[in-house]
Amino acid sequence: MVTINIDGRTVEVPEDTTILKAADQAGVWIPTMCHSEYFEPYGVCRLCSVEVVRGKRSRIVTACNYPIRNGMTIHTNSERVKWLRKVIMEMLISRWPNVKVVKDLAERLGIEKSRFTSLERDESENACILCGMCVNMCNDVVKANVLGFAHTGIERKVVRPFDEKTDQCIVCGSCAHVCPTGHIKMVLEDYRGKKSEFTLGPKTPIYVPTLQAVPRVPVIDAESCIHFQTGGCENCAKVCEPNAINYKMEDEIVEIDVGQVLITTGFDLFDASPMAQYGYGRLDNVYSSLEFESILNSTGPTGGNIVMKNGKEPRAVGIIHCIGSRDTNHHAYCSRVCCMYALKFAHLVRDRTDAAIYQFYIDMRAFGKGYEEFYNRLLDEGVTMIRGKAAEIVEGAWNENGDPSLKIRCEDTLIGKFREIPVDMVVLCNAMEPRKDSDAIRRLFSISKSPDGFFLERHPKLDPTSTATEGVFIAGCSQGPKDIPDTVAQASSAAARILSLISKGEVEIEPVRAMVQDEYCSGCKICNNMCPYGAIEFIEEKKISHVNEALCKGCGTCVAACPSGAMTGNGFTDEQILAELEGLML
Amino acid sequence: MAYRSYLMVCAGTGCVANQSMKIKEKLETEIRKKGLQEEVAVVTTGCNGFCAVGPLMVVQPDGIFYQLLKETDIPYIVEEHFIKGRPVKELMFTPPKEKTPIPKLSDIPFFADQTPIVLRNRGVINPENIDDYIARGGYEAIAKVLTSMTPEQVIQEIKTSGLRGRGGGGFPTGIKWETCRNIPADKHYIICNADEGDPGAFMDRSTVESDPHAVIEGMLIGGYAIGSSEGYVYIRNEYPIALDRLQTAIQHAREYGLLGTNILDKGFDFEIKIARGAGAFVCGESTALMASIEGRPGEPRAKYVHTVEKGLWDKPTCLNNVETWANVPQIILRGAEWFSSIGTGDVSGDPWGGSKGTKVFSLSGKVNNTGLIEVPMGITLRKIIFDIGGGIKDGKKFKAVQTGGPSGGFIPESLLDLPVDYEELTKVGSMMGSGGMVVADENNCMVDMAKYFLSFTQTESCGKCVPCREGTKRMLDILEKITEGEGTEEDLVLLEELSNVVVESSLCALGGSAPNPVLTTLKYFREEYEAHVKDKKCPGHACRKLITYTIDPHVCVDKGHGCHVCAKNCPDGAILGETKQVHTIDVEKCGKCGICYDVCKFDAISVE
Amino acid sequence: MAKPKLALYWAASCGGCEIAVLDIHEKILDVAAAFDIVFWPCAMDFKYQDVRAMEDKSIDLCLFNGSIRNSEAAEIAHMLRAKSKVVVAFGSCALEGGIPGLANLTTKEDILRVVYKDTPSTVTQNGGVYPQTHSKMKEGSIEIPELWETVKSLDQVIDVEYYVPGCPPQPEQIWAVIEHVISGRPLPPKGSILGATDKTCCDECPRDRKEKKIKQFYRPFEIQTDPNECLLDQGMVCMGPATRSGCGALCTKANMPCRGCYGPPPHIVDQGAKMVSALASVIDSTEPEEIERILDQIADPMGTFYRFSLAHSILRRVEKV
Repeated sequence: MVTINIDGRTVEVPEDTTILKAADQAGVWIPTMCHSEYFEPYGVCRLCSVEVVRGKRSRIVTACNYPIRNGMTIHTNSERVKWLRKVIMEMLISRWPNVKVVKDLAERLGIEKSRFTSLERDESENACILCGMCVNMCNDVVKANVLGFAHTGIERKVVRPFDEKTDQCIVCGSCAHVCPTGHIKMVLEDYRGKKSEFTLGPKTPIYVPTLQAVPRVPVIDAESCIHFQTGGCENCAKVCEPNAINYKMEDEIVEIDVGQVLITTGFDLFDASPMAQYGYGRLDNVYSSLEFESILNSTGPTGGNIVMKNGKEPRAVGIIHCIGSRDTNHHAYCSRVCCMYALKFAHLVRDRTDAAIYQFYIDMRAFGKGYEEFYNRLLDEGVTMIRGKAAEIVEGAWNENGDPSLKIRCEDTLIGKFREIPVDMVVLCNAMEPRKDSDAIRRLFSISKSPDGFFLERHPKLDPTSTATEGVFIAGCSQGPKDIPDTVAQASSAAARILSLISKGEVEIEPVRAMVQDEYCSGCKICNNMCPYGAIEFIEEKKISHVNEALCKGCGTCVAACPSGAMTGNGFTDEQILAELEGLML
Repeated sequence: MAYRSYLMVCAGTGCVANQSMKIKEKLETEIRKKGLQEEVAVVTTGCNGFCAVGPLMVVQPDGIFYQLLKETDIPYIVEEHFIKGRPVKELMFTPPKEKTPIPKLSDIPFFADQTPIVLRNRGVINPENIDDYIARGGYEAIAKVLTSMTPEQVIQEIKTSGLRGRGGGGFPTGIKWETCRNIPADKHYIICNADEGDPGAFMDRSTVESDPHAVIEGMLIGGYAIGSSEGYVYIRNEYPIALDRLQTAIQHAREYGLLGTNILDKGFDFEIKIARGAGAFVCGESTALMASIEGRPGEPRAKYVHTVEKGLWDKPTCLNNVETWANVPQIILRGAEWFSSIGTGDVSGDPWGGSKGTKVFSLSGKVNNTGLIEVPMGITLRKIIFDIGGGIKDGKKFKAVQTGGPSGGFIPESLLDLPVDYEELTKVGSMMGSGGMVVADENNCMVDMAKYFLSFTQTESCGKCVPCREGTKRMLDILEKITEGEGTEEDLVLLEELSNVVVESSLCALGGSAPNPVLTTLKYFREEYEAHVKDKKCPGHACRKLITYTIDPHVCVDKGHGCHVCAKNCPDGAILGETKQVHTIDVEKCGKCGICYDVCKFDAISVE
Repeated sequence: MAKPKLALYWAASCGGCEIAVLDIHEKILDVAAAFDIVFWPCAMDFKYQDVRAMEDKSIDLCLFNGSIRNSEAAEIAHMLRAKSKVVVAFGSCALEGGIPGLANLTTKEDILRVVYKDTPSTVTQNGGVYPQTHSKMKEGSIEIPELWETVKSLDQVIDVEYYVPGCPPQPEQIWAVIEHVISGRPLPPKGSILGATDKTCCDECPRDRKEKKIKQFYRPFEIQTDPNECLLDQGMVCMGPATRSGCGALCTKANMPCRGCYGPPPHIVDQGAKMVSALASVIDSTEPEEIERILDQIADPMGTFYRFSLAHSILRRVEKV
């Protein structure tokens, strides 16, 4: 610690610091314009000039980067300093009279107008004031090295390389974030809500998925994180006190030997963007069901308040069933759970707001315990049920305060009329659909899918949890849309089956199998990728193919394919088949 | 082989631009024609300094000085001087207004009053021949240093000599070396600043062209003293001849084992790399220069942490000007006492207490003898301008002298007896600078001259900090207004205020010294500014919008008989009048070029 | 001790098998030294009546090449069967019908019509004249053998002890068989295929094989093949996977796909069907149009898949209605 005298007061400040930091610690304000906590002091606006006295010599230095020395005397507001700041401010005002940060600073320093006129005067409110913060961010913090200064003297301006759009820019937005005048803007070119946790507003690349996550630990999205693209930034590591951030963590691939697998990979929510008539992704205040769930949640982006994008409460809410399900253009099946959660939405909206609620349905599927009763309760709560799938959502005309609103066009089949319902917010009941990568999962485990795309159970009635492949079980929405009670039942059943096999210790398989007669196989590899169960492998050392008995289901595809007759079916050799035919024909 | 005559033909840039190489070739042809090639040798040398009278040649060992040579003169000289033994009087130097020529160089006042230390080898050696340099005592200093002195002893010698930075800062060189040496680091760097951006300054250019080995030897000694094995010469790209001579010199030095590893078998390694500038005045500033060598944009940074601590690539770096380096071998050879006996003040107690040794100045402007001079510190400005410089051209009246280039200020006649000294010049608002000296006479407008220098620094501003970038532009805008007749009293107040702010708050010395010409002219020539602003007149007759040309009708008719010469030459067709009649100038059309004023033989035209 | 007797005969054949025998070069002298060659129409001047005069089972070894497609061949086949202890079906034609077997794609009538009437270079007289089995001349009558409707392999006409496959069988294999007999070592079981191994041609082929995904078939002149990659991988129809080995994979080593001349691998009854089944399994497409298009790229499927084996396959011959 060293002792300095600042504006007549003696203060103790840490060594190795600048006048600006020391002044801040002493509670003295020094104006700055090109300074930021993110990077080393730039020292170009000169507004932070202060007077430093050592012995008989006094000199003007910039506070932001001048190092403190013991015994220093600093005047941050002497006449000389005030006069310098005044004229520098006048220089800035004469060139950028309408930029807010310049105007505010001038006002704070007591300067109204400039005595100079500038030939380079720029009237705009978002003019670039050449503070260099964006350049320093991009080069020193983000380390993408895209922005720089070109031309000398009064012609100086901020440019990208050769003044052209460049792929070097990683679109991190740091320059826009730090720009004090709004000269740099981030423009959204394409909005496609890919990850549901990102659709309701931007998040930083390091984020906690939801406040109810277990464990509630932040994760880094490597695709948008600056560090993973340029090696720069690392601000999160700098501020983390327990030093918990490790950029070098990698995916671990762990091999476990198992005898049985339970697949519960869940569902994806149908993306309503292709259904242009509903305006999802195009119109404001049209939400998918999961987005609305997150709005309703008290740890969500609105804290549980049902508000529109502009922060106001909706006057009317429309809830549309069967989006992407019961639809020959998308999925023909019924997504099972939507009717009930749509009713739940209606109940919560009624509970928290005064909005009018409209439900647009085809059929009301209230099949479970207490469900029909709940439906009746909703009717009592005054929710308007319109039997007729909504045809289209358009921008509405309820614009008394200039607020945006929507209109739902539908056919109310019960009264036989076309209706247009004005609403402020629309909630879509998106279908549950199979996961995008379910085909890859299927191939991995040699199981099939039903025509609707969900994994195929061995028997729809008598065995809904196991699959045609021994030892592979399915449960939950990976097998088909279902709600929580059904999922729990199915999963428990699968677990029980698995446990019973584990306790048995071994498993029986069918004897009908293919096998390779080694003495006849020449390793032509024609059979190698025939097997739908991946049971055929090629043994390099012997240069012949081999069938894994555990995986082989005896389908015979490889036997038909084998040109040398080396592959044969147990109990189904050519001789045996011909003998059977002979027997039949005699 | 000994010749009876050596013809030292000046091959400095100025003379080369005036075809001195053709003269050299012509000499060689003539000499061969006359069969004198075994007796008369032709040698090209560096710049002699008397640029006003180039192309020039000195015949040694006689010391006969020939000036203003043309190719057609050569056969006559060869015939007359080298065959018949009669030096040619018509081609010798004759002072203006006198009749008798001065044959010997050493008698010519321009040369007689100089004290060449840095330029001791100019005109005497062929700079592309390392043996010439060695024959004149070259590389003896480094030999002495490597064999008998420790680095600390070298530094002490430089400190005692009182040598101060010749680039303009005037910082005591010995202290700089000592500080740099004492910073612990795995690498130290030496830099020679040969960027010389001041317009009108060519001291460093001539030094490198005439005697590049002196600079190399100086850097070797500096490297040894500081503990550096790598030196850079940052030379501006607009000096092709100097660059070429430096590259040749470095190559020769390498071949002779004077650069490279284990120099003179003393285990001392030193290598010199050349970095070229790319046309930025601001890159003469040390931090911008180092940024340029590192490949970054040439922008200065705050010097609160000095470059001797953290310079090139954040290593301790000692940067000195060409002239500073060139002084070092002489100091080592002839001793610090000898050096500190030349100049002003006393440096034994306070290294800032005096200005020691000599300074090279490039004298230009309205003097008779323009060129390069080296004079001892402490010489008066009057002596430089009137004795060495030969006084004001065309007998006009002296008005002011600008020292220190665009960073310096104007000194009026009242201060002409000022001794040339770092502190003295700074006291009056100017500075020593790198050595540019421009003389103005009664026909120069001080406002216009201030505007000229400010427009240079404004263009060369890197634009990084607000005061220099915006402030110099605002100042220039005001000066434009004033010189166009639209200035007001408030503008003068504003101008002075702006100037002071720019000086105090700029990030580097470019901004910190750019307003100096304006401030000194405001101080010493305020009446000229007021004439521009109040009377809308230009006393120096330079600001076009403010001058008027008038024809005195009586002189025109009585003396000139309406000769019509002015009208014929007027590019704007602004002169009306018939032959033998009185002529008048149409003020609307007149472009103020002044051609009529120049061509009128009868002085009928006056300007106000 | 009298030398064992050796007979060689060619039925519907090209003569290549005889040349293959001669291709054992100087070893032919060993053959001549070890055997008494009693009948070899190609090389020696013995007549049918000489054979007829022999006692039954007096010929120790008969190498019979060529398929049976006319009455003469059948007659001599039966005759040699009677006179020989061991009859070997020598070469592809004897083994499985060979290339002449492709005549089973058409009828005797069509063959005669094309050859004697329809070819552009034939100048017919009197509306076309077919050769007749009996022709009466003033000098007497001339008999020529009757052309059969169907080409048959040797074992479809007579009982055969051994088979030597190949078109022609490779000289090393021929010598191996003869040498085995000369050596007096026990002979393999009746019906064995000699001069070949039990694996397919792929076993002897040095090319690198990968999992097959065919997107297009090429004929040999259509592409430059990689000399190190499997020809089938590169889209050529190579019969190697469905062909018995023993030839040393000479054709694939010479950058030509295998033709299948060594006949089907052990236990395979129909070489062509097996190959078709294998090829169909490796077509890399699920679109019906694309599959059609890829299959259409195989020129002459019958000639490709059944080039040598048609007579002996399950198909046997085409029935025209």
